[in-house]
Amino acid sequence: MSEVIKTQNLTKQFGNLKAVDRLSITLNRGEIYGFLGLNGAGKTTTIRMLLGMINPTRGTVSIFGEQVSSGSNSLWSRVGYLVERPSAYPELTVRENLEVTRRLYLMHDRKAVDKVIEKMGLTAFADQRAQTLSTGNLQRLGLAKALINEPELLILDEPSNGLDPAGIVKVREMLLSMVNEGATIFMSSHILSEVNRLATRIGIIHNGLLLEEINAKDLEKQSQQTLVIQTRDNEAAHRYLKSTGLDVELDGDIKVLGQEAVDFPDKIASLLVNAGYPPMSLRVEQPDLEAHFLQLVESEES
Amino acid sequence: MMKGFTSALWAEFLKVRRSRVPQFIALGFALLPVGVAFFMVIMKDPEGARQLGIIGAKAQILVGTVDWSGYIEALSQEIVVGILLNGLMASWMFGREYADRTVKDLLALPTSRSVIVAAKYTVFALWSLLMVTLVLIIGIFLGYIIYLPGFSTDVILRGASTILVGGVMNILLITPITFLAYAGKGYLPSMGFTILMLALAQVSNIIGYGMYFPYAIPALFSQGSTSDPLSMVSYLIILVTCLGGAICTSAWFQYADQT
Repeated sequence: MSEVIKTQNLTKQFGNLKAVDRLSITLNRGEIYGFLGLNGAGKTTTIRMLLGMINPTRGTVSIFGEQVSSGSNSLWSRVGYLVERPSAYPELTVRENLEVTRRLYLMHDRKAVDKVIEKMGLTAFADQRAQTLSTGNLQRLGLAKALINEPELLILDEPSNGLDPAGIVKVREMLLSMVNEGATIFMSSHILSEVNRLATRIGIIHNGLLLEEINAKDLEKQSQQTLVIQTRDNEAAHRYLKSTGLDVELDGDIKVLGQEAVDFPDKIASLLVNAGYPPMSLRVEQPDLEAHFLQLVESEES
Repeated sequence: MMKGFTSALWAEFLKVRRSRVPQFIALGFALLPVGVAFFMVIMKDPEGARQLGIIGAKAQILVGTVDWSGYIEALSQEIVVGILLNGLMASWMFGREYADRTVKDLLALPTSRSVIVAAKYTVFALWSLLMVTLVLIIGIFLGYIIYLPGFSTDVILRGASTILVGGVMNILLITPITFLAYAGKGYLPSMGFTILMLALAQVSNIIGYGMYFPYAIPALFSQGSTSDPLSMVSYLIILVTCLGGAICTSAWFQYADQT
């Protein structure tokens, strides 16, 4: 697979603050890379360095094999981006804002504006001034700007921000169809479920450091399923299950670890009933990306 | 190197055309000859001027003689106000990208950043020349309406050329203001700078060094429409200020961290 983004020891220091610290990632064609981190973790600084808006203190960024700098203009015709909150010229209409973008992208296709307006569901607002748009429609306009040049690489900062559930689904489907057509996506997000659904690879950044990079499939495998039980006396039930040799934890609810408990919850239920601790509820739980993310960040903090 | 210049020019024209800010500033320019003509009307009637008190006294200071020559001279002295209005316009044109957070959409494009800066300067210069023309047309029209004596084509042409050259000097002096609009990431620092420069221009004139202070030079030039008091050094100072500001603006937009 060909490399689309490659960063090597990418570091940005603002005074004493290391916003990004020795970040090395590689993104191949057709991947959707989910970039996760808390507020101030270094996500937007990284994105700005990828786009040549901020000069790295150390390290390099290459996109499509070309080293990024503030003068990499030829590169940007293949890239679409949305950085932080979307913005638009308030006195211009949606169509005019997109026309400005089309022209600055030096695109000859005059129909590109209408196409992207339709694609983003902005037809009804096309002649409305940007200052009157709702947050969600402003986000759609921001995404329309990012998509107008049908980019090979999309760099998106919080693409689902402000969108309603229908908008989120639409954007998700659109991004997936773009990837199916060969595009590559680098996206940061706070919405972990969105990253979980879309990303083929996930990078977790905290205090500027890349804590972990994981394939979505590996995350699924790594996430150990547990059987979660509630009884009227969890402490006693926990002691009892432990005495039977099961791998059990008490964390408010009783958590029985191990594949056997997940595969045969009825056996555990029978054990508890016979011991006088009939379960009130019994469910199989798989830690999601959120749990994984929080665990990782917490362990780093501690 | 200038790839995308016409596109950037089109975009800048559209922004100027659609916003109300340039319209308000244009109104400010349009009111300059109205103010001067108003004082002329007062001066034509000294009795009435005395009765008006403060306004009459001020009109006496501003206007020399009540004829076309004095009128055009008074009009050309409005160049000082032109610096302020130009400063507001340039602060808006350059600083708005930060205030509206649209600057990030200008940074990673096939159109280079220097082309975008050049397009902004071009639109600003054309707009500013349009304002000079507006002042001249309204000025001449109002002078005709108020029946000023001493009309001659020579007086008009001499006055118009003074106003035009002063207007061009004002355009050239805009670049440090645009630099501050970028580096200050908004309108306010550059507007503050414009006002400070006007105040310093007054001070430098009072202490007799106005010819060496760039923002005092256009006003000195306009005062010397009959006998030019400026040396080559003054013109050179304007050029150096313009080049320095333009280089700083362009370099800052190209190389500084755009956080």
